[in-house]
Amino acid sequence: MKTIRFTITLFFMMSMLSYASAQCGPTLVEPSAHAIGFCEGTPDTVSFTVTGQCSGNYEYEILTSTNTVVQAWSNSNQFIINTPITDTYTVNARCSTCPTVVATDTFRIEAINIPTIAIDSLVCYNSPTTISASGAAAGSMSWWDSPSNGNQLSSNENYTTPPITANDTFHVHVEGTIQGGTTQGSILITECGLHGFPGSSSADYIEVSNLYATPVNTSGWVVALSSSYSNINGVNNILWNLPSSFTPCSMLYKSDVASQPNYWGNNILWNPNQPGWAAIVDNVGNLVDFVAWGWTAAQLAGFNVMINGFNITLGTAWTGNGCSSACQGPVGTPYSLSRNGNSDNNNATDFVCQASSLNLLNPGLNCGWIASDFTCSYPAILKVDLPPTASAPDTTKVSCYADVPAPSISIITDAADDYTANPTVQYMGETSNGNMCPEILTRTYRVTDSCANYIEVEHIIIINDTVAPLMQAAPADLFIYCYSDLPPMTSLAWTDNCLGAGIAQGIETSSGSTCPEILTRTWTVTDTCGNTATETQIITIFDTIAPIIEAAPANLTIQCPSDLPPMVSLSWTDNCAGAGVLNGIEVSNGKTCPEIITRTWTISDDCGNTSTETQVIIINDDTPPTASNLPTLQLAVLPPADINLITDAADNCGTPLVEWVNDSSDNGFCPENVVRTYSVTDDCGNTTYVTQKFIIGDYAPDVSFTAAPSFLDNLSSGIVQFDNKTTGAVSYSWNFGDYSPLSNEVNPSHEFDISKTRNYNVWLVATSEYGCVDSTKVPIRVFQELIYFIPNAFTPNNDGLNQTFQPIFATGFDPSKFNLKVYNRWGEVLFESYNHAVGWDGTYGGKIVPEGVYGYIIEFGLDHSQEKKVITGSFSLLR
Amino acid sequence: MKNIILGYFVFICSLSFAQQEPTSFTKCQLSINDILLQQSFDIDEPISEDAMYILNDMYEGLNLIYKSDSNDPNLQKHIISFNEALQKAKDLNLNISMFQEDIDYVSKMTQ
Repeated sequence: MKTIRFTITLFFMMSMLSYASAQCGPTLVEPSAHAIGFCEGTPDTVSFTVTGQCSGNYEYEILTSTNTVVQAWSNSNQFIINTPITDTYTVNARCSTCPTVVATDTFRIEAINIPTIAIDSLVCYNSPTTISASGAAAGSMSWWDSPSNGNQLSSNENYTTPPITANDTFHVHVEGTIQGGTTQGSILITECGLHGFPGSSSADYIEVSNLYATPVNTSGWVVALSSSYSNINGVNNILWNLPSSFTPCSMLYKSDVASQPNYWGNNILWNPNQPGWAAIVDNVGNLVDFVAWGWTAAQLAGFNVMINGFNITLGTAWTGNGCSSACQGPVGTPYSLSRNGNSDNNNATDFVCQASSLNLLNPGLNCGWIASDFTCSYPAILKVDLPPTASAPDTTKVSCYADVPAPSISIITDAADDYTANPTVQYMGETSNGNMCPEILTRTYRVTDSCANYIEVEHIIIINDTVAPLMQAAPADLFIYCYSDLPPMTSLAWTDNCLGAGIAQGIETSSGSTCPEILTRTWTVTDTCGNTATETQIITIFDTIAPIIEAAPANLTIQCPSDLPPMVSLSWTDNCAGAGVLNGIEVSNGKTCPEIITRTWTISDDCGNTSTETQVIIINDDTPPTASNLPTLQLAVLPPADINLITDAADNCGTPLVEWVNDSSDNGFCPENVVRTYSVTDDCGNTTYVTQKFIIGDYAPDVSFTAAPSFLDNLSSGIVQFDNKTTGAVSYSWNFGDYSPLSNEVNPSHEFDISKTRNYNVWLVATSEYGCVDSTKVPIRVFQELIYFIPNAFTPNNDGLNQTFQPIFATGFDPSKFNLKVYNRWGEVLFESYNHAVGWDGTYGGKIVPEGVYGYIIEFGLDHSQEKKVITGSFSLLR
Repeated sequence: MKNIILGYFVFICSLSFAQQEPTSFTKCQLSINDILLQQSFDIDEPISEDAMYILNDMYEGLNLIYKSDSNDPNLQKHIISFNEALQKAKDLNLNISMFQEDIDYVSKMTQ
């Protein structure tokens, strides 16, 4: 029991230790550079970066290649290089909470010591010298003009300079080589995931790493995988083509999870506890790396597959078993078979079977480094004895030669040298530039040091007269009107600082123009250096006063051109030109009525001053012509117009024009009145109108007549006498209205038909002398006299005679208004009739009335009048 | 023996390529990978390898059957081969429901 408890406790502790180990500690330490070229005198630093889990502090230790500790465990992640010791160093990193877990990497420091440089302490100015270096391997040293990227001066350790004119620094470059570092140096299969990885619990994957420090062209390289658990020669039909440029120190992977990046293309038939393999074949069929698990050495000996067109076997380069099919192997023994004589031993460092850290570079792997050259630069400083210095004296300026000072070395006041206390000063001579105003004199002084270096400084003297002479003032400027006013020119006195004094004559120039003409009188004096004094007088000759002309006659307005007076001459005077007489110019505006005539007298002097006098004469006839109206005429027909009838037309300026204008009618008849108009017009359009009235035709007659008698009855003769009372007529026409022939008698008589009642309209038409006609009528009435019979008795006894009582009408009766009433003696109406042809038959109410006297009332119209006639009476009824 | 293994390898490879592009005649259009993923066991289990060979045989048999004329004297032999592969699949208790239309088609040919 105790043993069991101990075993359980031990197992628990081991498990905890294993867990802690798995969770704590660095997995990778990387130096900032694997190859460092170190130049003595220039400290350098290597820093380290750790990957892993650490709840405490990371600690670092630096060892030499002989495991001598050069920097003991500490928290510093830097190694400061001060000592020039060439070696390959190892850096160990650990976590303070689990110090047994150590990550390691190596780096190389290649050191170059400072060489010995032989150089002169001082070189005379402009002299060459030789500098040399020693202490490094011959052929590794050269001379340059700058620490880097400069120009090479010498390819060996000696360098002779050109003449040196200034302090300078030269650089000896010492070249060194960093040895190549150990490297895994392969394209390696670094992980095979047989069953799951983070993110996918049951998938398979393969990682391939480039452990070179440089890109590798893997174009044409493929990765092949096993595809069978029973047949070692089963090859997955998908191959992985590696890239044309495999990035250095990088890892690529493929998995059989289609939903994730880098899909292999189909299933990778790998499974824990089942055998498998993976291989990298390059573009010429070499087996670059091969890993296997679950296959024995004997089975691997039968490995013979076709990959990417190449027949691949393992051959003798590969030995051993694969790791177990569970990817387990004893510590220190290969996990897979390994390649003979190669650092790629496929152990736990560079290959992990059944890994689960997809896309992470395996801890413990590094890319090493490659050999490289580097250069250290060391300066050599050269000092030069420079020439002396001295400032040039200030330039001396004088106006005249008499003012130039004598030469003297005392004018050099600041001669100095870097290595000579009192340099020598000498006057060397004087030169002129040969010019005048200014003339420049250059005096040379030489300053020399102990190295015979010298400089020359120059003293510049400028002789230049810049002061102009002085001259007496010129007379004041003038303005005159005429040349006769121009004064004579005088002379002016002058003085100069270098030349003395004198008299200047002036010159006169004209502007060449007139009105104004500018005369410039100039007095000028110039000294040797061209300094000039000038005085000027400006005289302006400009006549600005116009001539004066006698006043022109007053303006006129006249009726006719014949009234125009002759033009006169006018006298004039001018301040410069004197006097004279002037004729004018007459100009018409070219129009008439009015015509405007302008008479102008103009005169200008030599300067264009102009005077003008003007007279304006307006010719305008505004008086109309005269003519008398013509007398009124009465004619049967309107005669044509005749301008010759206007005999008295007259105008104040000539003969007017007579024209017919129009005839204006009142469109009347008997008579028509016409007014004829003539126009009388002069040259200015003034018009007078002359009229003549015409009476065309005469008046209509005054027609009237009487008839006797105008009423005719059937008892008359029927003859009517007409009495013509018309006036203003010369002929007559009678129409009697009974279709009888017309009569032209003055007082005719006519017999009418009296047999019937009727009316006749008698018309008289009368005509005047010029055909004017009028008419009138008189009615003639013909009627019948009333004739009737009323019986006084009747006998309604059926004997055929006098059976009814009724009136009998012969003539003059109008039956349209007939009414018959019969009364008895008591006033009762027994009978009434409206038809004169129907009489009373002696009955009343259908019974025969008794004999006796009865009364009657008869009403009827008359033929010749509107009157009613009423007749009453009585009659007897007899049986 | 070496030649036998090589021949078998070539045969398996040819079947592998064939299964990547099933003929258009088969009603089942899935790849063998996809069919294996639909099985009850993990695709990486050893049985998956056997299943892969059987599925290859089934596809091969079906392709030959669909391509053969009805008067082809080899047709019956292809049907027998397919049925043998089918029987192996059933023995391994594989999920072959995706071949059901093809299985029905072959069954009708033998009736």
